[in-house]
Amino acid sequence: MENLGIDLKLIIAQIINFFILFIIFKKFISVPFLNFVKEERRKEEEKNKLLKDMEEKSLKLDEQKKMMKQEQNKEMEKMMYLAAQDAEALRQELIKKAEKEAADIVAKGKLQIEDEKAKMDKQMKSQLIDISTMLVEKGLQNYLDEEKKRAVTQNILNSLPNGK
Amino acid sequence: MKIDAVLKDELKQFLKQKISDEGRRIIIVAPYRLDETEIDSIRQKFQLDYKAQISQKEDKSLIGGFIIKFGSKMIDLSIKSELQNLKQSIYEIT
Repeated sequence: MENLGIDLKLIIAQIINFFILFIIFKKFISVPFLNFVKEERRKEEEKNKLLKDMEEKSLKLDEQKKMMKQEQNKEMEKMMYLAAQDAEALRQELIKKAEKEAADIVAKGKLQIEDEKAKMDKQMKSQLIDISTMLVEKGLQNYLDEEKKRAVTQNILNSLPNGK
Repeated sequence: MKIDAVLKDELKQFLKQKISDEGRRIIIVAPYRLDETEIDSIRQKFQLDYKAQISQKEDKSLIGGFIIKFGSKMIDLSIKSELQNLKQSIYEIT
């Protein structure tokens, strides 16, 4: 063995060294190290789990956001529809009101025209009567001379009963 | 203001006389001057007081007939008034 260059004592010492090292390593290094690694792994896993949770939550939130937006759009459409209906109803009401007012104005105008017509009619008749009586007066003035006037007076007196 | 009783009495008498005179005065309005016959016929028809004084007035606008005024009364038998009545009647009808 010595010819091969192997020192037995050295090997045994190294082996003992190795075992001491191994024991020290196992007892004081590997376990804490392993624990540390486990801890790190556990932390890593937790982190990943957390990340996953957050991603899931984020997705859920996105979903919720989408749904809320959809609902909001629906509500807006509904409100627009109702507003359009209200506007249409108001428009119809305004049209009816305007038509009624126009009809009232036309009726009032017609009544006024009728009134004016009746007034003019009355005025014309009155003027006609005045002119006619004036013509009769003038005619009689021209026609009746003194003789005829006396005859009229006589007629009046004859037609009256005695003692009036 | 106190008025003397005698003065008051005289005033009353004077007013009575005036009213009585007014009542006795007769005015005939005609479009021409009436003659005596016509005036007598009027007196007879209307039984006017013969003592009453008749005065005449000419009003050509009456056209024909006459108006008798005595006191506060008036009798209108003129053609003018008849035409006015006719005019009024036509107004009422139309």
